[in-house]
Amino acid sequence: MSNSHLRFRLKNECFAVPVDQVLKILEFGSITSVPKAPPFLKGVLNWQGSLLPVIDLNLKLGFQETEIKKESCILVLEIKIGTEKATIGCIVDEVKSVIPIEKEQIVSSPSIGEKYSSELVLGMYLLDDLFIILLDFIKIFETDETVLISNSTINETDN
Amino acid sequence: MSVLVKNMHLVSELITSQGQLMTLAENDRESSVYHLSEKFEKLIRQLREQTMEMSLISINTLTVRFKRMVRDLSSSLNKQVNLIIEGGETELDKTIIEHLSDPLLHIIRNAIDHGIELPDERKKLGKPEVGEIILRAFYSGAEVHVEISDNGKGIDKAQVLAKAMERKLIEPMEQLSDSETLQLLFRPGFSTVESVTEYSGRGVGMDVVSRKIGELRGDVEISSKKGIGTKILIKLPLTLTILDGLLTHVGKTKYIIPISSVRKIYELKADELKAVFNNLISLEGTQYPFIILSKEFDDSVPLQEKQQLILVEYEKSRMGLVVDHIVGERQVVLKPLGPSLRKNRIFSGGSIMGDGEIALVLDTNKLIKKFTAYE
Repeated sequence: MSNSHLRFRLKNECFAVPVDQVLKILEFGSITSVPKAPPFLKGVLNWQGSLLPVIDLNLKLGFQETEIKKESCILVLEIKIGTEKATIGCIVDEVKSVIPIEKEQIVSSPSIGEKYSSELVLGMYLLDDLFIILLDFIKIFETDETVLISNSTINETDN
Repeated sequence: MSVLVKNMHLVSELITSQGQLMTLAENDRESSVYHLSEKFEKLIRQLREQTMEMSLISINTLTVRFKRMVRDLSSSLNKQVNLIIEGGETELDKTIIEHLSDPLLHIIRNAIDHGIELPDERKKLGKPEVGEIILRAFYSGAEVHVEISDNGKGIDKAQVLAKAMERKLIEPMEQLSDSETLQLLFRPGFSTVESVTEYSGRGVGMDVVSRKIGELRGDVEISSKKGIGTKILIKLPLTLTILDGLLTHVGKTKYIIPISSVRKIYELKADELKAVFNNLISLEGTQYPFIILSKEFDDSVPLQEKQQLILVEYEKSRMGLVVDHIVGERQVVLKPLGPSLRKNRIFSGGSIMGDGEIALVLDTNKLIKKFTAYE
């Protein structure tokens, strides 16, 4: 497995996902909304002839709804849930660079503090005084509900 | 992938491409391209029907397994059971048949283990010593129904209620109708027999059956009379992948309504809909419940002056679906909405239209059941 991770931003927190799980980064485009679906599920879009469910990752994690700006984009992730491979689109605030993260450099989350529910966080990585959070997407998508990543809301000040 | 699945996939691709061609050709209905496109549509329809016929197999292919299981299980439980198959020639999509085997085995196992009494007991009750399980399959509209009935002891509703209370599935003083009581059997973590036998009651119960059938876009119903027997009815759609539908517009979104359920279409003025009382509309002397899809799905768009009411039917219940505009008939390829929307019971999936846009396919059977149930 490659150690390359794609960095992306939600509100003003930095996250990373292994590039192996990222199939594509799409510009934010029109999404067909599905009535009566859970709120974090923004709808479906035509992706290579299949229907791709698109979720608002901010909402899924219990944050405020994503405000669509020109940096907003959709990460197409392929996640293995059990024996099934699920392809899911995630709306994020901004995609940043690809960085290498070695397994040894990942610190387990509980030592960082109580802010994040450790179940959903694989670990954290320190890059120039900035914490990058590695999410466990398998756990996040296993449930159909909104999952809460933190018990305290992330404040939306400086950016 | 089997040859058949590949074939079906190619037909699906053809239909999608044909949709694109039609979108382009529709601009000029006099052009030769338009006529050619229409010809292609007919040919593809025939090809699709042939391919679908090839992918159908009969229920008989499963019954050997059932008969063996009935023989083995009844002899080890010292019961006498006769399994009768009716309508075994009824055909279903291969993928559906494959997924139907386990739920049916489970239901038959339940019938032998919990339903049919021991020969002595049956004799005392004045029943024939040999118990009977009938598996009956037949077509019903755009569905195939599979009915499994036994002439055993039936389900003790009082026992079901007591157990549900014990398991905290219902409130102590809750009043439930007979059918509501039987519905409890489909709830996860429910099992009425105290002792877990080798054959049934291994924690996988009717809830698993119900879920499996749900994944096939089908439904399970249960009815039972104490002392007389139990009947379980499974309703399945004829095919999962391609359907004929009516393409409609509601606000900015496109919806497909399966042709098989459409009975009649009426044009109405928005005022007529606003004036109705009790959400019932009178059409040709009969009153029907209806829903205005734009109101139900997206309230941001004001109701247009002219509205179309599509009268849809499911098992003798009829209701109206009000849409803004009807585009026309389309062959569509049904695509799943993905795991996170699997629980959505209003749409059976989505389809990619000729222009690349997505239309959601309404599951009218579920919709009708939901809206006409509480009348």
